[in-house]
Amino acid sequence: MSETKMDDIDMPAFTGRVLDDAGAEELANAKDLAERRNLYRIGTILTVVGVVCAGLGVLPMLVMGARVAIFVVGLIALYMGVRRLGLARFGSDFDLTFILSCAWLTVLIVAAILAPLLPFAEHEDTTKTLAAKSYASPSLFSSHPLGTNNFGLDMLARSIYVARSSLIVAVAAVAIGILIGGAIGILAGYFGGWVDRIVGILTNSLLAVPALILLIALASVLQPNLRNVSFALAVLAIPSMVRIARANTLVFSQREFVLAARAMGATRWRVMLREIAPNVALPLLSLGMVMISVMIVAEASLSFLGLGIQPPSPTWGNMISEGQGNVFEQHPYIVLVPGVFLFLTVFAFNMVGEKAQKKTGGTREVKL
Amino acid sequence: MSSNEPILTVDGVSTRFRTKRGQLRAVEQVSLELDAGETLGLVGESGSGKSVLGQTIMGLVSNGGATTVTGTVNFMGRDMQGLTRKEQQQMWGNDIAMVFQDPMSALNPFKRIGTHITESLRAHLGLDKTQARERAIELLRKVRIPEPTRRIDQYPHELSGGMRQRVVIAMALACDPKLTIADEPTTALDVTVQKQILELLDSLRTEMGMAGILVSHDLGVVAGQTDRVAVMYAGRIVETAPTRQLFANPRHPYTEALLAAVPRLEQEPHTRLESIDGGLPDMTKPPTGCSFASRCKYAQAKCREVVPTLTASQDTAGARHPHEVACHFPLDGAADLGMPAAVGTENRELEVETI
Repeated sequence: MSETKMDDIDMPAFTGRVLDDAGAEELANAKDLAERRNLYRIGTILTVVGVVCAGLGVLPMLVMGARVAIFVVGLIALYMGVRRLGLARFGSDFDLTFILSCAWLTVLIVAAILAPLLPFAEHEDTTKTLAAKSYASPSLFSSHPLGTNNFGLDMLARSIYVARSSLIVAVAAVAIGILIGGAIGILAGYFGGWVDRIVGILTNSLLAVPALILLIALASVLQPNLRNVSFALAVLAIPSMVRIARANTLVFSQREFVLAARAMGATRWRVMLREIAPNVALPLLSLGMVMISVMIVAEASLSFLGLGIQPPSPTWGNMISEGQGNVFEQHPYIVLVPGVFLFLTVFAFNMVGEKAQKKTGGTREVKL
Repeated sequence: MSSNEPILTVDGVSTRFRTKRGQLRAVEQVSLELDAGETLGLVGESGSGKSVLGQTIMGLVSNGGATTVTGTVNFMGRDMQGLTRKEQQQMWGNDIAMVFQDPMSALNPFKRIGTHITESLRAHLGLDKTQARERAIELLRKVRIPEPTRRIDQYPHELSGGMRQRVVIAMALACDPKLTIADEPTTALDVTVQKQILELLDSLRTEMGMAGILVSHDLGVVAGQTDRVAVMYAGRIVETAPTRQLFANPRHPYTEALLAAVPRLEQEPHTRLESIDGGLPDMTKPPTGCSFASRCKYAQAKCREVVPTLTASQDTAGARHPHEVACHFPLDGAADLGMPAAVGTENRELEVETI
C-alpha cells in the first residue's frame, strides 16, 4: 500500500503517467482526425461523382432509360457524399435527411404561396391551352419542364397548385382535430367517470370504422369542396387526438402543480385551460405533424376515386387517376410526376414529425 | 404570541378511501387545535396519513366519489367540509395555503415564475397587472430570491431546486394566508438547502403572524421549527405535546422508537442505526386494539384488544396544551433510548434541533 503511494508521489513516474495520458489523447485525436480526413476524402469524391452523374442524366444526350438510371445513381452518390461531408464538418448531429425534408417543405410551401406570381404555364383552364401540345414529354429546358397532360395543361404548374389545396386541407383537418380532439380528450381525462366512458365509447367506435370507408361515406353525402373535405378528414384525425390528449391529461393531472393550482383556488376550467392544456399541446402538435402526411394521403386517395376535390382543379390524387387506362404505359410521367410530389411531401412531413416527436417526447409523455 | 381563540379546530375527523381491497382508513378520529400564530408539527412514517390529514383539513380531500370524510374541520369559524366549491376556491390561496413537497413538479413548466404568483394575486385580491407584478417581485425578495426582477420572467426549469421551493413558498404566501400547511416542504431538497428553507419558512411565519402545520417524516425538521408536535401512526394521533416536552420525555413507545432511530453524531462510526421492525398494518383491515401493538416491544394482551384513546398525562392535565398519549402503558419519563449515560435529556434535545 505504502509503496504504491510512494510511486504515486514519485515525480518521474507521475510525469510519465501524465505524458502517457497526453499521448493517448493525442492518439485518439489523431485517430479522430484520420477518420475525419477519410470522411472528407470519400465525401468529396462521392459528391463530384454524384454531380457529374446527375448532370449527365439531365443533359439530353443518351437514351431515356440510361439517363434515368444514371440520374438516380448520381442522386444517391450525391446524397452519400454530402452526408459524409456534413458529418465531417458538423459532427454526428448532422442529419441530412431532416435538412432535405425541411428544404423540400419550405420550397413547396413557398412555391405554393407564390404560385400565381411564378412564370408557370396554364394549370387549370383548358380553354387557354387549345394551342398547347398535349402529352408533351418532360424536358427541363422547355416551357413545360415536367411535360403536359392530355389537355396540354402544365404538369409542374398543376403539381405546385395542388400543394395549395392539399396542404390547406391537411393542415386544416389536423388543426380541427387538435382543437376538438384535444378539448374532448382533456375533458374526458380530467373529469373521468361517465364523461370519460362516453367519450371512450365514441372514439372507439369511430376508430372501429375503416378510415377509407368512413371517408367515402362522408364524401358521398357532402359536397366535395375544400371545406367539406377538410371536415371529413378532421373526423379521421379526432379519435387519435382524443386518445393522446386524454392519456396525457391523466398523466399531468396527477402532477403536483395541478394540485397546487387547485390549492390556490383555481377553478376547474382554469386548471384545464392554463395548467393542463399547454402541457398536452406539445405531444398533440408533434403527432399532428405526422398526421398531416396521413391526411395528405387520405385526401389523395379520395380524389383518386373521384370523391375529393373535382377536376379540373388539380389534386395529386386526380392527377394520378388521369394515368388510368393505357395512358400510363405511353406517358409514364403523367403518374410519376404527381406520385413523386406526393411521396416526397409525405416523406418529408413524416421525417419532420418523427424528429419533433423525438425532441419533445419526455419520459412522462404518452405517445401513440 | 397566541390568542386564546383557536384558529383551527379539527374534531373527530376520519378520512376513508374506497379501494378495490375495501375501505382504506387513511385518517382515523383525529382531533387537534391550532392557535393563531402557532406552528404544529405532524410527524409519522410514510403512509401514516399525515398528508391526507393535511389535505382533509384544507378540504382538498372531501366527501364524494370514493372518499368519505366524517367529523368537522372548523377554520376561522367555518366548516371546511361544508363549503361550496365556490367558497372553497375563494378561501384556498387566500386564507389557507399549501406548500408542496416536490418543487420540481409543483410548478407548471409552461408558466413563468411571475405568472405562478400573480395569478392568485389577481384572482383573490383583484390587483391589476402592474400591481400584481410589483407585489410578486416584493414576494420573491421576501423569500430571498436574488435578482427578483430577472427571475420573475424566467421559467421553472431555469431555477435550481431550492429556488423553486422558494417560489412555491412565495406562491403560498402571496395573499397573506392565516394558515399554511407545508406538506414535507424540504423532502426533495439537500440538507443545506433544507435548513435555509426551514429557517425562511419560520421567519416568514413569525414575521407575518401565520399559523402553520408542518408535515414531515423528519424529526430533526420538526424539532427546530414547531411549537407543538403531533405524532401520527396508522391514521391516528398517538401522542401530542409541546415540542420540547415531546423530545425530552416521549411517552408513546412509537415516539420513543422514532427518536431512537435518529442517527447521532457521537455514535461510533459503523454502528447499526436503530430501526423499527415490521411495517404499517394494512389499513383496509385495521387490527383490533392498538395498531402499533404488532411492532411494540412493550405490548401486552390488552393492547391487542382495546384501542387506546388520547389521554392527558396527570402532570399536564390542566394545561392549555397537555401532553397527551394514546397508550395503555405509557412510558415513564426518562426512557432508555440506548444512549450513553453521560448525555442528559437536555443535551439530546438540543442535538435533535440542530440536525
